[in-house]
Amino acid sequence: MRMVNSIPKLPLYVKYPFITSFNEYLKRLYGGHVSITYLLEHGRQEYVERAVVRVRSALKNLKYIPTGSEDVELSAFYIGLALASALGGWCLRKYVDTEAKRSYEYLLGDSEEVIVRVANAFGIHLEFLGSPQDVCGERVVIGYDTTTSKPVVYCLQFRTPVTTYLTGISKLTTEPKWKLVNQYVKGGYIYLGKKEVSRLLQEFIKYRLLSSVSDLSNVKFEGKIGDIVDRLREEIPAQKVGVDKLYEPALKVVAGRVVEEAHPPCIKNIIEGIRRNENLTHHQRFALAVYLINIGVDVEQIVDLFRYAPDFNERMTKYQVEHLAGLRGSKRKYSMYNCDKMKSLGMCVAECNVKNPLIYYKRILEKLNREVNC
Amino acid sequence: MSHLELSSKTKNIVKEFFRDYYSKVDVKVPDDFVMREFAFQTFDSESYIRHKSFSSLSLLKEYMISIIPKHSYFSSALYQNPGADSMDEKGWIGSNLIFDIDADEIRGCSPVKVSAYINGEYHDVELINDECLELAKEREVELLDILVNDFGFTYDELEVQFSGNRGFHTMVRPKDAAWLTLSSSARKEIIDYLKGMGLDIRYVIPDIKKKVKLSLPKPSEGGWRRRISKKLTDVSNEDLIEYLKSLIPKCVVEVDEKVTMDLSRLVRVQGSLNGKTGLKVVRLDSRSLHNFKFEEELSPFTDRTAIVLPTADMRKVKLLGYELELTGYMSFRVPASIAIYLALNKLAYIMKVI
Repeated sequence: MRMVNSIPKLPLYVKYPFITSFNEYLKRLYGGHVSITYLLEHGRQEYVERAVVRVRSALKNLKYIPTGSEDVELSAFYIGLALASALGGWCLRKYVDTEAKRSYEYLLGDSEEVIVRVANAFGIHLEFLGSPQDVCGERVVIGYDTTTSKPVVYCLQFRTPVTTYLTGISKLTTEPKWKLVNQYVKGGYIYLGKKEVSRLLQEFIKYRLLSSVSDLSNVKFEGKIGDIVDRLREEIPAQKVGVDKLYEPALKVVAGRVVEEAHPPCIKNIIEGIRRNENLTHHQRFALAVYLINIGVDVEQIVDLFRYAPDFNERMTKYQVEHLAGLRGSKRKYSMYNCDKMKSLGMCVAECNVKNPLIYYKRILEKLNREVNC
Repeated sequence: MSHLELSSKTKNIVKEFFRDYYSKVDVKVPDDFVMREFAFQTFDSESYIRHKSFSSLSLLKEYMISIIPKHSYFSSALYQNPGADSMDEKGWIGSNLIFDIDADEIRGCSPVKVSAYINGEYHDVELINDECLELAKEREVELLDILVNDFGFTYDELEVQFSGNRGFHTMVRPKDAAWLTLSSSARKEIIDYLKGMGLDIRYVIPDIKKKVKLSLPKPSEGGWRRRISKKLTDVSNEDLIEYLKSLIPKCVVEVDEKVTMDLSRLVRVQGSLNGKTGLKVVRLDSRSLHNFKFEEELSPFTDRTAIVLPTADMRKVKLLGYELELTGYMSFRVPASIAIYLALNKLAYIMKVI
């Protein structure tokens, strides 16, 4: 194996390892094609060790502090991705979400130039509008300070094409902040501040990682590495492993009360999302919990459903669901969003001709009951 | 009402007019027509002929003359195999962004209701009037303004057409192909942007401290700030945020969201005839849109007249620039354009063409 010394020193790879494909990197590092399987067997022990730390800290919500070494971090990152993928859907989502979230934090602290570079590295058209002398970019004067008469300026430092933006926010449109209608849209571009751009890139990083998993699917974990995978598997919180079994029969028939087929399309859509281990937005969580409370599902069962979410926190979820059910705090039971509200929040997915999702459930239930009785 | 048929004599007369038209005129289809599905409805069947594809313009023309379509459409979608029967086999490549503005969906528009008496039964027929189309036209101008200023399209990329009946269709022929592959939910975001659905004023006027005197949004800005700035009149208003909120309804552009979200929508062929009216589907540029009038020149059948037997009383009904004074079941001589329009709306039998 020949080491090539001409690899540029890019601390960028430590922070953003995904901006280069692993195969490309290995090719440059070793001067030829090297498979991950080969690397697992013959590469530095440290690669696998760090990968395990990476995965473990993602699964346990611990902070991961990278070493300064590019080849260790880059290899550990990709081996970690392969490990997480081998551990199953929930672990993969958790790993991907954690990595993307950490990148977001790095981006916030990095210069505008680096942000553009990271975006461009995976084909995202992003433009910095400022200059070293003036980083403000597009200046929007909101008003004037009444004491100093100075203008109050909002700076939109970046812009990205509308099409790129729409692709990036596809999972965020239930949050008003991200809806196109609330953006500064001009000449085919969305103008954004640094924080928003970093968050948008976080989404693209997730897509990128999930799509690059398929390149790793033929990686085999055997022998020593196989043992590591098994040990990691034992560390996955017990509830996550059998989560399907815990939840599904419960919702299908609870003493003839909860019938999953009767959920309206909007609720089915949210449940499908959470079962795919996607993180839900605030409004989606609220709608799902309040809906389930109203059709009579127990707090425990609702909390169990939320276990699918990669960012699940049992104590918090239980507290919040109990709050929504009127068991805590103001003792007020929250009412379900009506269909107009669901529409405006982008959660409505079909025209059901009802005013409230709960009515849909009731109607279908009645219909099913009639069919059973006949 | 669709099951109701006027006499086969009337139908055949209208069909002959359509045949004559298609034998003389070439329809206009997009350059990439070979990748699109075509669909037609004829005078003889309620069902559509779907999944047609054509490898040349002359084959399309030949086919249209052979069936004499009542309605002619092509797909907003581009396919690898547009003639295949199922969506899966068609191989979706992308879909043009389309917008549909329908006059009778517009608030403040009340179509003329006519009660037709056919075969012993009454049937209500709604006729579009020019005021409604004027409202639709204003809305179309607003839509184009947003597509150009906010979404960055040039007028060359926007194909506007009068549908031949009640509204305007806009199809985006983008230079940037990324627009073609937007998902249905991404297109919904564009709809919400147009309609102001989910708009939160706090993102238009960010929440700021009391010690700030807010300034008005400017036309040079972006998003809803620009849109609201166009409607500013009373700039002295005390409560600026409330005033700006009150302007939101005036900025809303109502479009049919189902049309835009549908990735396999059928679009009317330019230069074809709308079988609900006998009027041409015509392309409008920004100037001809401005000058657009609901007049007889929209019909290709202006040089002949016909004797009709109306099925309803029509008093002071304005149609294609004429004011009708017709009595049910009395014969009248009217321009062929009117005769065909009425016949297709089951408001008259055509007795004879002169």
